[in-house]
Amino acid sequence: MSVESEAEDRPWQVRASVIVVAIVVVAALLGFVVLPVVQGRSAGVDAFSAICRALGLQAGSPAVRQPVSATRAEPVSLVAWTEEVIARLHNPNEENGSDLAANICASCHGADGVSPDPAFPHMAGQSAFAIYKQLHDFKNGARGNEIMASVVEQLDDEQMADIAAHFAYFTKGALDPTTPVTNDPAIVRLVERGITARGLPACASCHGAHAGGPIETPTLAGQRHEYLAAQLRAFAKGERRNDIYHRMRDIATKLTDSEIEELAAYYAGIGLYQRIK
Amino acid sequence: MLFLLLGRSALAGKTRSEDTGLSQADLDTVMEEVPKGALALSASAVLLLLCGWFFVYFFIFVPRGTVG
Amino acid sequence: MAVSESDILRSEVRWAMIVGVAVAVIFAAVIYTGIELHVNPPSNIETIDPKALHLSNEFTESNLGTRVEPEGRITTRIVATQFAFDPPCVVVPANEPVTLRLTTPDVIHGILVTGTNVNTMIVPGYVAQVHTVFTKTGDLLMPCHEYCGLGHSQMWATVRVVPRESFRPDAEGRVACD
Ligand SMILES: [Cu+2]
Repeated sequence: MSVESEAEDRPWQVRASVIVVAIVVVAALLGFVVLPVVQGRSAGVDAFSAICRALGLQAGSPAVRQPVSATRAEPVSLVAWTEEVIARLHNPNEENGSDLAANICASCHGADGVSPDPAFPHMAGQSAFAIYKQLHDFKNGARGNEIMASVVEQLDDEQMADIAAHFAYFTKGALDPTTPVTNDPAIVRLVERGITARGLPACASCHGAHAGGPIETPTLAGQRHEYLAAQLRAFAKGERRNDIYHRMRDIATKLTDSEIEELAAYYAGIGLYQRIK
Repeated sequence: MLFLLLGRSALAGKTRSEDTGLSQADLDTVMEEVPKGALALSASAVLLLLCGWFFVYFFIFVPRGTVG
Repeated sequence: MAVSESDILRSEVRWAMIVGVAVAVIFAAVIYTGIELHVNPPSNIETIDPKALHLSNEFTESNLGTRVEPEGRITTRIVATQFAFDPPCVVVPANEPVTLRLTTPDVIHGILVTGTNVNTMIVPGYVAQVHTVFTKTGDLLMPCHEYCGLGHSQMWATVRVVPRESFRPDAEGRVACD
C-alpha cells in the first residue's frame, strides 16, 4: 500500500463509524419512540405506555389495547405444585405415613399396597405426586368418590403427603414397563408411539418410567385392569374431570371402547404385580 | 477471477507476464474491463435481493394477515 | 498501475451509498406497514405463575377458547400443556382483529398457524400474545413447534377461521368448535 492511499481513505474510518452509529440510533428512535407513539395514538395508548410496551417494560403492543378478562377461576383441581408440597413429598414423615396407611388404606388397598379387590387400584410403587393429588382432589370434591371422600376427610395436607410418599417408596424401582402381555400391534403402537392424525400422544410419553410429562402423572404399570378401564370411561364421559386442562378427558374421548379395554389389559399385564409378590 | 489473478501476479513480478505472453498494455485493458463486469454482477445481485425482500414482504407477509 | 487507490475508494463509497439507499427503502416499507397496518413485533412481557395457572382467573379451564369480550374485542385463550392444547380446536372470524393469548403450566412450547404470520414461543411463567387478522377461511393446522417432550409430535390443534356471518357467539360471548 502506498502512503497517499492510506491518507486518502483514513477519513472514511471515522465517517463510516459515524454513519453506522447514526443508522442504529435512527432505527432505535424509529422503533422504540416514533412508531410506538404514532401507533399508540391511533389505538388510544398514551405515549409513555406505548414506548414502554415497545421496549418490553410493559405488557402489550403499542398498536393495540390490552384485553382484559373479567372471569372468575373455576379450577378442576385445587392442587398447586408449590415448593412446600414438593419438599414434603421428598422428605415425608415415614413413620406417620406407614401408621396412617396401615390404619386407613390397608383394608382396601392391601397392607403392602397391592389391592385384594379388582375394583380398588394398587398403590404399591405409585408416584407420590399422583397419590397426593388424588387424595387432595377427593377431599376437595374435585374427584367424586363417596368412599374416598369420607376416608380422606380427616387428613390434612401433610398427612396426605406422608401416605403418598409411603406407598411411592414402598416398592421403588419395580415399575419399568418392559413385559407387555398384549401383542396387538395397534395397541403397542398407541402406547409407544401415539397416533398423530388423531392427536393421540403415546401413553408412554407421560406414563412411561421417567417420561417427563406432568408431575402428577400416575404410573400405570401393573394397575388393575378393571380400574384402568373404568377411569378411561369416566374421563370420556366427563364423569371424572380432575385432570387439569382436559389432559385425559381429551384423550379418552378419542379412544374407542375396544381400545380402552385393550389398553387397560396392556397396562394390567405389565410386571409390577408379580414382581413384588 | 482468472484475470484478477493474472493481473495481481503480473503486478507482483514482471517475469510472469513475459511467460504468458501478455504485455503491460494488455493487462491495463483487462484492469479497465474487469471492474465493469464485477459491478454489473454485484449490482444485479443486490437488486435481485432487494426485489426478493419486497416480493416476500408485500406479496407473502402482508397478505398472510398482519401481526402486532 | 491501471486502477489507482482513489478509484477503489470512489467505488467503495458508491457501494456504501447503494447499501444506504437499500436500508432506507426497507426502513420506509417497515414504517409504512407499521403506521398503516399496525404491524409490530409480537413480543409481550407479561408474567403469570405457572404453578397456579389452573387456579388463575383468566386461564381457568372454562375461560379457554374464543370469547367476544364485553367491549367487543375477540380474544382466544389457549393453554399449551404436555402434550395437547386446551382447547384442541378454536373458532375465529375472518377479517376481524383477533387477540391470541397463550401460556403453559409446564415446559416451553411454541405455535405457528399454517398459512398465517402467527408464530410464537410459549414459555412457562409468561403470557404469549399475538394480535392478528386471519384473512383466509378454513381449518388451519396449529402444531407445537418447540420440542416439549416425548409426545411433542402428536401435539397440534385446529384454528377454524369462519366467515363473519357464521361466527355466532352465545349469550356469554363464547364460540367453540363442534
Ligand atoms: Cu408442546
